[in-house]
Amino acid sequence: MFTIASFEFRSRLKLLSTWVYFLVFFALAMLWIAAAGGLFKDANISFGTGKVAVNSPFALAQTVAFLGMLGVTVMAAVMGRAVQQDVEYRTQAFFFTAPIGKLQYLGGRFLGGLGVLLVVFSSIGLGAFAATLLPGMDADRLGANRLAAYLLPYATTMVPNAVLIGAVFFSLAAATRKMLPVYIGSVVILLGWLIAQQLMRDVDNRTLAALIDPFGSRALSVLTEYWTIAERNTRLVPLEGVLLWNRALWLGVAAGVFGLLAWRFSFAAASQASSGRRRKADAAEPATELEPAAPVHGPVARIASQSGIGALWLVPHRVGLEFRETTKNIYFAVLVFAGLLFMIFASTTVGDIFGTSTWPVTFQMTGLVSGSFAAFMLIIIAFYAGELVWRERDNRLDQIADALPTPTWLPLVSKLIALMLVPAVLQALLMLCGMAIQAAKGYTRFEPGLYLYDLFTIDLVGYWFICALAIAVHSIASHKYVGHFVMIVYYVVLLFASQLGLEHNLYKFGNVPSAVYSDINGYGHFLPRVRAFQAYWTAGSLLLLLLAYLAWTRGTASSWRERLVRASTRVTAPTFAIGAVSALAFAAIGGFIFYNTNVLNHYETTLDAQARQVRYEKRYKALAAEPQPKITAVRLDVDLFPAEQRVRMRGRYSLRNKNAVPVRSLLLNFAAGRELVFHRLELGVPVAQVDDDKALGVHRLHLAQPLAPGAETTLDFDLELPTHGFRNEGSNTAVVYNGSFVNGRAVLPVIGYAAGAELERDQDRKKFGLAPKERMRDRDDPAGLQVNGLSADADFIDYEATVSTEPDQIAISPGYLQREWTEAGRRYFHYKMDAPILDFFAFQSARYAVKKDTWHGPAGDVAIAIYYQPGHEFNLDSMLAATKDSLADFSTWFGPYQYRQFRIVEFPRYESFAQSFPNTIPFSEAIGFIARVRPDDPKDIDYPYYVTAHEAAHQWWGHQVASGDVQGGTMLIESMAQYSALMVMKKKFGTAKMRRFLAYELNRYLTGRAFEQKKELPLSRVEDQPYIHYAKGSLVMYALADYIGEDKLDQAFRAFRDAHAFKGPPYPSSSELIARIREVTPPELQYVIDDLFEKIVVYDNRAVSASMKALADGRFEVTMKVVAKKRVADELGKESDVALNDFIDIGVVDDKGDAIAIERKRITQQESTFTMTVDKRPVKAGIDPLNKLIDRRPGDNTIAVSGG
Amino acid sequence: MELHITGLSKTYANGVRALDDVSLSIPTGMFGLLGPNGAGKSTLMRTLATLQDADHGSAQLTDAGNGTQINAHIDILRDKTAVRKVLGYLPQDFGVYPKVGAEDMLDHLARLKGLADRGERKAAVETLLRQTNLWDVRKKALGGFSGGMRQRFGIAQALLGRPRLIIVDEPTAGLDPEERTRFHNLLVEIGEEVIVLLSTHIVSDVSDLCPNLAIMNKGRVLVTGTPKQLTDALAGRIWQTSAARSEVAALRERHAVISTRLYTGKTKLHVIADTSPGAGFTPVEATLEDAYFAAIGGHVGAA
Repeated sequence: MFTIASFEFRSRLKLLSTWVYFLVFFALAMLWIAAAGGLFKDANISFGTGKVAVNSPFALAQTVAFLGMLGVTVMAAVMGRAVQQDVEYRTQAFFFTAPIGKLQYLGGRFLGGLGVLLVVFSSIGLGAFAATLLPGMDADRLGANRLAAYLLPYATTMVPNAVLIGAVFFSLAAATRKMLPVYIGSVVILLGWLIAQQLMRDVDNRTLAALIDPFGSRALSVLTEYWTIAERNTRLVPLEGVLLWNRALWLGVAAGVFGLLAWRFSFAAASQASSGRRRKADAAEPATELEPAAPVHGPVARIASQSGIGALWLVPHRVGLEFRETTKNIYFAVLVFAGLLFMIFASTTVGDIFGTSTWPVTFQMTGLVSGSFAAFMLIIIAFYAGELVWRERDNRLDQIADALPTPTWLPLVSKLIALMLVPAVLQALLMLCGMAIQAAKGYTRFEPGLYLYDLFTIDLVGYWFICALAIAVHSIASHKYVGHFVMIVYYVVLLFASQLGLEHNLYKFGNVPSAVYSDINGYGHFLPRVRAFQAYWTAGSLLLLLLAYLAWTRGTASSWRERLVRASTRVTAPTFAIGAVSALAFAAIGGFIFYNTNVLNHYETTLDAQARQVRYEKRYKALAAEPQPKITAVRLDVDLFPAEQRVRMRGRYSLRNKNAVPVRSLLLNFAAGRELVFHRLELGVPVAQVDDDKALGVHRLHLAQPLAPGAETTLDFDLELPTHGFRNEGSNTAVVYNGSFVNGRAVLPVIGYAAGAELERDQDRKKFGLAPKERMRDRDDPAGLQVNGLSADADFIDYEATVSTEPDQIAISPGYLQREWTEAGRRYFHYKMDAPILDFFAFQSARYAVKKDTWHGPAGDVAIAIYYQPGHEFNLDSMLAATKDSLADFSTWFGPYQYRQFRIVEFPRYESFAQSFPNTIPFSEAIGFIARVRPDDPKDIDYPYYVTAHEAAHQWWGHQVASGDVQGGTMLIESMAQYSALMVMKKKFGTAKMRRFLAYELNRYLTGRAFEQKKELPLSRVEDQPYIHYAKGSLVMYALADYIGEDKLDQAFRAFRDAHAFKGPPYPSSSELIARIREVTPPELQYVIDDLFEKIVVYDNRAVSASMKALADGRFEVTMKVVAKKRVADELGKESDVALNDFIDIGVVDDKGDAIAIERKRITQQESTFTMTVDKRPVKAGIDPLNKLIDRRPGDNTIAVSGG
Repeated sequence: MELHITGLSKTYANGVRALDDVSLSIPTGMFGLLGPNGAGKSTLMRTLATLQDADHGSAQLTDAGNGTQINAHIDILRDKTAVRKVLGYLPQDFGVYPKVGAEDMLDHLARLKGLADRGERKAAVETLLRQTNLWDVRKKALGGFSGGMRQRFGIAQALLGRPRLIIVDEPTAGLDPEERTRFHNLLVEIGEEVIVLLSTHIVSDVSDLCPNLAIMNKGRVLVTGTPKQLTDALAGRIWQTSAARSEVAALRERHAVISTRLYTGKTKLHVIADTSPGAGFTPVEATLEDAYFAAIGGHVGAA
């Protein structure tokens, strides 16, 4: 066996291809690590966060896992061909008749192939290591090189994958003597990975997802997802937990597959099945003589003209034959089946938020098809292209076919069309499957038109470019595997082009910028760009196909010289004409696109944008301390032109110098930068000089006379933000045909130096020679508390706006509607606030349907209205209920609601958030309107209700109590809104649902901190970090309410609100809120406040054992042994154990995880044993059973109760 | 109909000289191309079948005038499309789509050959299937065909569309004697009106079928002519003796041995010599096989 293995091994090491694979993976790994290590200025790659060293164990594990996945093609080529080559080269008889056992033969071949794979993939580690030695790597991004960090990923990922995938491919090829099943096998394996990815959306599925991914990459993520930066940098990824199980499972599968092969494999069958080379076989020989009387060579047949377009009549027939050959077999059926299976799996978590899916609306279904499924499709195209192009040669029919009097373009064109039909058929099947899923889920608003439009006119056209490319690559490549490999390289380059700094779509073959469909706006303005790029790549594809035609192998010429000669004879007038026309079209359409992206619009790469941020900082940072006036009132006339995606804002800021010193100049920032058109910009006092920095969107107005402290003036403006053509990336999603949502700040001037516009990530700053920067001022910084956290250039302002739009749309802005009228074919809405608001407003316009209701509050009625897209009625009632519950509870708990009106206004899913403006809440269609909340399902969380309650809470926390521009500011706003929403939800849905909600919040927090870009901070010092102020905020506030009691807390919160509502500057700090919480906290629980707000505390509690004894009175005595561990983490997640003196729940729960009995115990040592007597039969018992504390492994807190 | 090959040369990238200044005139009828493996026969045939390009030389197909549908003159190396229209080609080694039936496949190839009319195509396919005795198995997948059936199918496809130039490369390799006879009959029938170029390393194939032949070795044409011309050239020069195996080496050294053959345990040798080589040698009538071996051995023809 080892003779065979070593023969296989040595002969493969002599092959050029082995070393080509080696070099490619070496280069990929090196490039990847070098790019992440900051070697290229344009590149923008990191392992989650720049704080993780590129050669850290974690980064290396990821690199090996990812590149190893790309290596599947190599595995197919090496392992699949280990046996199949004997058949292909017809050497099987030598081996099969030699005196060797089949196990020796198979085992030897397998081990030999495996050895080769290990040699090939050792290049990944070597390449990564080589990259760390390159000069020019950023020293901050490199850690110490550790041998174990390089080797371990091979033990946990690479080798098991090579064994598993190798065994599957090997067996498929050995059993069928064909390569096609191997490719199909690779697709199916990839599908396991894709399904795992989909399943991850639901936290309950994590273990399952980790197990079913054959590559183990999901298991690796699940195992390491909560690792802090410190851990990622230092810990070796161990073979334990889900990763161990995954590896064990799949190695078992590999062994099973191989065992089955060894059992079923027979040399005899193998020789017989030697694809078509049977000289004597089963067919019965007709023994009759030839018919002598037959005419010698048939009737005289008229030969149709076959040259030039005369052969066109043959195309349909040949396409039919090629297509049938491609699809009429079990393999294609397997692919289709796999695809449908994926759809069905994926649809179970469609649009999941908090484990709750959306209704299977058509755009979600098409999103499934064009999203993750696209990778699947690309692979199918690539390998069927190989099959088609090589079909005649594989079947040794090429000499006959090539000598036929048909033009050379005929097979090329026929094969191309047959290949193009493959994704078309799959798309059609997926479409039917999508509709079936919709029907199964009780969603019957079928939109076949939308399916067709999306799947065929957008996605399919994109696939066709890949078809053209794949056909061209395989036509030119001298070997099928070379072709496959080139296609893989193409995908990888395309995937990472942007991160490597290649951002313009004009040079990413086949790449069409995506079009986002929204129920509200349809495909909106995205289509012209899509069509332009489609036209561009059509011309590009034609050029490629022409190249394919020139390179097409006809006859037996194989050397490049011969092929070149043949190619030159094919350059005829028609070819030249087609080439010239395609090239001309390619250039012309490319020029048109370039005119749009780079002339009409300003083209900026990520690096350019960063450079612009740097210029801003360098040029204006000195002015940060320059006194600026504040806005005290805003009066606007806003004209929205949805059809033209244009907005014009005329109006006046009232300004006052609130400083103790005179204002000498104004620094005005315009977010729209150079795209903004200035019709008027006029200060109420004389201006001596205007510095207009168009590129940075900055105007500096030097006053002729300083504006004295307390003095007032005005700033009149007339600004217009037009849309010209289309951009390379992104688009104007603010003003759209239907569903505009424009923030005032997108157009209006912002006064004063904007520190937020600076480059933030330290690794980026370093690239430009800037010192690292602090994100925010200390939470008690007096200067910071003078500045409003939401809008630095204003405190509370008077607000009034007239918004006009198209006559069939409704325009909305904060304030009460004063008047509505139509004038000159436009519809006008005049809104006005009767009390000061924050300088925070937006404008929306669409053809809404409106649902109205009223909340009868103690201080009068509040008119509730939801402006929504017709068809999105699913959750309106839930939103209304949330609104009423929130208004009622928050008024009771915190203080009165300040408005007479409450509006929720839907906007397209270009953004996925809801945002609370004064009395008006823009709410994305993606995060609630189409949610499918099944009230009876214990897993579903009514997140439309949650989002509504959270945004409603902002009317208090944000719009009544504002915070300063300091650390902890967003705790007062976002964490308080989370608290408010959670308490309303708890009342409505009960604690079981809250546990589920908090499980997601825990996941969000733990994942978020692993991706921290600078440093994690305690909640009271949060620096606008969402994973802290939302996710940890929820966990902290929920636990706090549990420890202190809701009533006491509300008392503190109400007092806090009373002290600060509608006041500032100065704005309150998190220290003050914490102080008020401390006032209502008993002394023994003061440590809880420290842990929750002032530190980063992570528990590692778990139950060790639990047993029960049935008592005579029918009750149960449960004895449990638990371990408590408490750790404090530093900014980068380095944890250290701290002494315990904590109150922690000990309890017994039922099968649903609901409490049977809970007692809060003071725990002072790591291990303790408790005994409880309960009424109901206990199922599980343990420490912190309801997961109130932040715990890295919440699942092991309880353990099944034994005995009884 | 005549095929004129002049000065055809081809050297492969690996340095092998497959064709070395090959010149031939091939008239209507069967023409045998005889040579050992690696003689360059297949390269020549592939070049004539437009599958390969020559480095130098030319090949012209001219029509004596009774042709109806072909050009009077075709430059084979340049006007490939024109050649393909009159070409029927059976490669030495070919495969099929294993899952397609014989009739479907032939119909497919017929279309590609330009038989556009459905009725005519159907008739042609049927005639050819009957002629090659495949009619009864026309629905059967080609993957299940025996070697002989496959070879007959190969001939059937080569005959589609009334080709004027038929090239068959080692068609009888691997066929049993009965199959081979059938195959020969078929070829003879075809060969009456068109050029049939048949390559083989089996002398009897040629002697049975071909009024004209050429013998090739190492890329060069050694001799060409009718079988009679070739054997006549050797008349009186072939001598036969029989010897024990141990003596063969010594005989080889002394005489121009052109072939040896085992016969009842003894070795039968043919020697070429203008006069009797000595005692024990008897004159024998020259056969085509003698001509072949004499040519291959470098004893006659252009050296």
